[in-house]
Amino acid sequence: MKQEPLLSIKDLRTRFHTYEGVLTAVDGIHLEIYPGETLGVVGESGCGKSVTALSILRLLASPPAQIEGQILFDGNDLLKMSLDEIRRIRGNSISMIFQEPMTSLNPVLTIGEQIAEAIRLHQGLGREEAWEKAVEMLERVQIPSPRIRAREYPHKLSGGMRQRAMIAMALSCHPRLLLADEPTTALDVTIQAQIVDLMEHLKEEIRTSILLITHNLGLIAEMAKRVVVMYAGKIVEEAPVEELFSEPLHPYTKGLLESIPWMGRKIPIPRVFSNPFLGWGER
Amino acid sequence: MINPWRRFKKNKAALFGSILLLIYLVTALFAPLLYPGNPSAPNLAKALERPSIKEPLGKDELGRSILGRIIYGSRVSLLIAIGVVCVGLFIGVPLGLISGYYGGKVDFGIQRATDTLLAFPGFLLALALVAVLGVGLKNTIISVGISMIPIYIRLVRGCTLSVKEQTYVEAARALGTRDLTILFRHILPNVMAPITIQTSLGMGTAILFAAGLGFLGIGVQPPTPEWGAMLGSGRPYLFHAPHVATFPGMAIFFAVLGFNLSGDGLRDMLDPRFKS
Repeated sequence: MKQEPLLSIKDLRTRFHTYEGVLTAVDGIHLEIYPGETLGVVGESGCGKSVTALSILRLLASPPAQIEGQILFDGNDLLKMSLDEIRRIRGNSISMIFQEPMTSLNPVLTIGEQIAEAIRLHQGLGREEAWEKAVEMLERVQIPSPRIRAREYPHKLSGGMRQRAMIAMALSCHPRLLLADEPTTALDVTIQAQIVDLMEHLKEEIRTSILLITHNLGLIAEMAKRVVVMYAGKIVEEAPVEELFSEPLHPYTKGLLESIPWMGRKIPIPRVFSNPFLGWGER
Repeated sequence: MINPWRRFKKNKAALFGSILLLIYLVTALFAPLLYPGNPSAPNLAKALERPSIKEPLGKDELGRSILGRIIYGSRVSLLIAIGVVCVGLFIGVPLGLISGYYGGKVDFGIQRATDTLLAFPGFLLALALVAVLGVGLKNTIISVGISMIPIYIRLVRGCTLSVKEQTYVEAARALGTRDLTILFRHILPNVMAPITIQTSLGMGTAILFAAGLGFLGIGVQPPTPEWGAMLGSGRPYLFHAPHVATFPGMAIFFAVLGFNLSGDGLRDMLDPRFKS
């Protein structure tokens, strides 16, 4: 690829200052995302995947978080922007989908209101136009009878429907980069497949790049072209998907691949990779 | 989830409380219909008259109808109750939201100021404020209102601390929502339940405080019919004309009881921990 990267992260370090000491959650990572590309980020819980995404949008409270390095989006360093500038990027050029669809919608606002809010904020549309656009977005994420659903509160929607609504909200301003933080983890398998299809479809339509954070290697295989494997705040391996699956290099990657069960395979009790964060306070 | 209204009806105490409140509100709203005369017109010939059929609650030391003054007094106390919680709400809630949401130095500053106010017993604070501001209806409302502010700040701050950690608040921030919008559109509606309960209980307290100030003669001034002042002016006659002090006292008692029982009922209704 000779293109300019859409987002390039250089030597990103995110530390949390706590009473028990300094925790380095992201420890000097480099990565690049090109326009229209889906980059998979895999790794176990606590390896710094989500913190990376939150660092990109500067959503971590600071203090305690301290972010260093460079995050270039379109050539501009997100970490050097004023709060007002970064606020204009959020939801507009870079959007985020969260893991928990059950809690990521505000229970006291209707679905339509929540989607329309983002549209009004970034596109300067009036109340009614924004509402129409919200209904249209709900239709695009294949929610049946969107006009009725838009007037409903989140508790009336199932998990899959809520995640669709979240996707509608995140994509309503046609962002150029979508940070998907375990978008399917909380959903059951059939719904997962639907959401994956939907994201693939919308990605083509809106031509957005996706940073797909997950520990589901199946999802990576299906959606991403390139994968980075994170472990203990560092990127330990970066490869095209096929290569990663056929010849994983890092022992952690091998362990990760071996942890996937499939039918008919007898699995030896796998080696346990210790979590380096356990007991960090005692050091 | 059971229908909250049905749960409220099952709660006998809350039902009783809301009936008391209803009587109180109707009395306050329709006072001129319930008592057509002038409750402040003295008639010294009939001073301290005992209750009778014609005058069910008797007359006070200036020969004014106690029933009439209690009926009109309900307007004054309702005005005080509403005014006081408005002062508390409009100042305490935004400060609590800001304190909880921003944290850090802002939080520290607001919380230390709150600590200072909370260090005084509420009534003493109201008393001191009246001493500074002077007597009268407006100053009673302001003084008692200020003594309520720290309670709202603490309550709203605590709730905000938990709500702001919810994913939907983070999601709203990820969409670039402005802080003010997050505070008032995303967080405030989610902390409304405890605020509602506190407001109901706070109105009861407000009536009690205002009556206390009136009793001491530094609240609402005569001839405005105010329950606390009526109680205070009936005190010298407690032994040979007990009705003068008793009936206003009962009015205060039932009004406060009504607010407190309804407030408790609301809490049982809205607090998720009580949901079966």
